[in-house]
Amino acid sequence: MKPKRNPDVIWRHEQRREQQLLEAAERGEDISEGGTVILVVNGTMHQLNLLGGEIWRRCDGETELAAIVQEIGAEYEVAAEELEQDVREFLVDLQQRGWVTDA
Amino acid sequence: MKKYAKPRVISSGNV
Repeated sequence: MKPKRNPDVIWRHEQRREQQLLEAAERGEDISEGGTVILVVNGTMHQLNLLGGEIWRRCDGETELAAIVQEIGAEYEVAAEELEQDVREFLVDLQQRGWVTDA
Repeated sequence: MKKYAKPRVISSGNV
């Protein structure tokens, strides 16, 4: 599977915010509810948390799911199997919302 | 290595 963002979705990667969240995580804070990517879909705003943003940014229609898992796995403290399962579930969610398709 | 938290859509609201 090569997930591809729906071109109708407007989005922005909030890099400064992401840096602040990473620093908060280092201090032991729970940042799972912190948004790093903002999406606007049909006039409604949504946010993706840190890992959601990591996945979303790689949904370019050219990157295989396995490569996405590998890239993210190299940066985060998580077992490959758990990460792959989470990425798959997240992408199913995004597909059901119509934000991502399989290129 | 960065700490891991599951990916999710965290909020929605009208612009």
